[in-house]
Amino acid sequence: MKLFSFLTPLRHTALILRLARREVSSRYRGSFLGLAWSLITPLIMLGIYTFVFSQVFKIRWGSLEEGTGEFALRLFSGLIVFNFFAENINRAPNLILENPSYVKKVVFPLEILPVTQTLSAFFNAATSSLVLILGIFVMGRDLGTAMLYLVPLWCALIFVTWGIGWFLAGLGVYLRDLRHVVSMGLTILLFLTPIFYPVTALPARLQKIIYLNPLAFFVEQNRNVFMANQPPDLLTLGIAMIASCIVAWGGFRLFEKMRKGFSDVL
Amino acid sequence: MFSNAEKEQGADTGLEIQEKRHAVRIRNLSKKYRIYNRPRDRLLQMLNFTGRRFYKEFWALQDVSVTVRHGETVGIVGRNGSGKTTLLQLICGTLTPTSGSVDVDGRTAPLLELGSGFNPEYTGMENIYVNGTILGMSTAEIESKLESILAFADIGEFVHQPVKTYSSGMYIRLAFAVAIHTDPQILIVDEILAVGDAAFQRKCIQRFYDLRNGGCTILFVSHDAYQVKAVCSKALYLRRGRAVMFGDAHAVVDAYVEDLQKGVIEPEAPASTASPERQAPLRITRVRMENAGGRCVDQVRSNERVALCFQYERLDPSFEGAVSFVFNLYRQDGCYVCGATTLMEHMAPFPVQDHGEVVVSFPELPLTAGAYVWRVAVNDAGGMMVHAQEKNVCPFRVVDNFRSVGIVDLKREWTIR
Repeated sequence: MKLFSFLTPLRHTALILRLARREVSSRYRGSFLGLAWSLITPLIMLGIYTFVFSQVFKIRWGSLEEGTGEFALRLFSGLIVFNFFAENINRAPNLILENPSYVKKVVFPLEILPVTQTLSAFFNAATSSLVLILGIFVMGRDLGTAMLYLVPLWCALIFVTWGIGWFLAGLGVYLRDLRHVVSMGLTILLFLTPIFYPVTALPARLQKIIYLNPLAFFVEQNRNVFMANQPPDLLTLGIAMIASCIVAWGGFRLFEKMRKGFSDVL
Repeated sequence: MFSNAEKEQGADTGLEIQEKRHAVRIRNLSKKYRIYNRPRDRLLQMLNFTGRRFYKEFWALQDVSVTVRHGETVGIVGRNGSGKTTLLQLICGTLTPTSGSVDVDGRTAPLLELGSGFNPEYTGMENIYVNGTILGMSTAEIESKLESILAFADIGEFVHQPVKTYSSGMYIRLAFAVAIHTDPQILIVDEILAVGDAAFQRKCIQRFYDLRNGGCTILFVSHDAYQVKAVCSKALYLRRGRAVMFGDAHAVVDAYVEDLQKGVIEPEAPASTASPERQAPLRITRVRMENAGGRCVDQVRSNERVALCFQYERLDPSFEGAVSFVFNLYRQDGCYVCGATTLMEHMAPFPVQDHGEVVVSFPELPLTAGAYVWRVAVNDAGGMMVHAQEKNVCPFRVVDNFRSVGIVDLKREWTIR
């Protein structure tokens, strides 16, 4: 089916895995603790959130009456989704620009660059999720069967990220201002996404509007699954899946259109 | 994975593949560059429906059609900016044609700019894997060839360091080692046989011969007319993006050289391939010109019997293999009178010795009065590489009895009716 043409970059599996592995390992290369940092960093972040929000600010999540660390865990679960998205999108406009030799000097499947980026960002999200799960256990709670919904949920999120990533990576070659716009946009998005607050804390009128932000759905559902063992509404999930495929397909098509000019621009 | 993709495509056109006898088929290929003043204009052009043009046009290549059969070695000549590199890039697929088509059958190893696919932050080892994968090798294939690649590059423990710490020589060696181990069916070379030190050059050129003899199709750009004649069966002459001539290497190169001499196009500096000054394995020790009596002379009569003698010695004891010999004769003002190699005269290459002597006899040196000078050289067995040379040696004068003028005293018979 034409809609799934965006999956064709995946035939370069070996190259994608190699580049992604290299990307992840380079982050910790030469450091004493090595890969352990990928667990230590989110662990410390979660510790800081717990301390600040439950001891310093004594903030409660919406109207819920919950124990210590509830806010921090909910915040953290939202941030995992947001950071995954932001890490990809922030780098997307530079992906092609940073590798001019891949464009001009060798025959390189450029379309895999956003995919590789997603994979290494996903590694971070996965380790952070492990820390989140650890935190949930520490709080004396359990995970439920709703966890299974994480698979379609994250698939959809990854597709959306690819789609936007392809679009921005292609456009970034022509519009060098793009990266500034994108990094500013992400800061704004951080606050317009229900990470620090539940959607239900908003006035009814805004609750509909906030779902125009594609991340709002993923942040909210990811949190519900982890924190409340509450599966997403199947209809909404289905719509999200289809929409994410359309976004990925569109981004990929635009990228393929734009790439013809890459070697002439760089 | 690349080869998988190729196979899938092949399945659709199975019939065509059976009939494919060409390695590269180029049809009416053109490449137009749009010259924009600002990157922004490019986007405006893409989104523009008003018909306004935001660019200036430049045709790098226009309407080139060439078919190269499997196993052919094709040289591409032309002065700088004539479109040679553009053509190679279009064949490799790093550029997309404006119009026309390129059809390539087989695994291609582009040696356009060596190591350009390397990531400077990666170690040598990581780059071997990444670059090897880009060039179409599977991980298993790379692993099986790893030892051979490392041996060829010969950079020792540095292979575990980021390549940004490499010297340019090490960088090139690693890049060449990877590229050459892809078992290419089509090798695309842009003047890169002039890289590295002399010993590495020999290794590269040896590999070049091996691939050629193994039936690999080779396309290569060279500025050296003699080199093209020596190794290529066919040649393509490009001028200002157009194919002037394609066919037998000798005929094409002659046409190119003729144009150079006519000043239709300006000559350019010869390629740096001839760089025997760097650690040359051989040295020419003594060059002299003798007359019929065996005496060294610096003045001869027109049509006198002379012999050009030179000796060489082996500097690098590990250097083995076969060589060929060259002489060139120039008038003092630089006019090239004559030159020949043992290869051109169909003599098999000679095994190299510790000390050797070469004598070229000219029964009648048919020169007119003037001052002349010789050049002698020892080349490799294929005529690609100069192992040792001496330029501007044995200057001599020719005196004549004014029986003719010009450069050459042609043998002649008059018939007057």
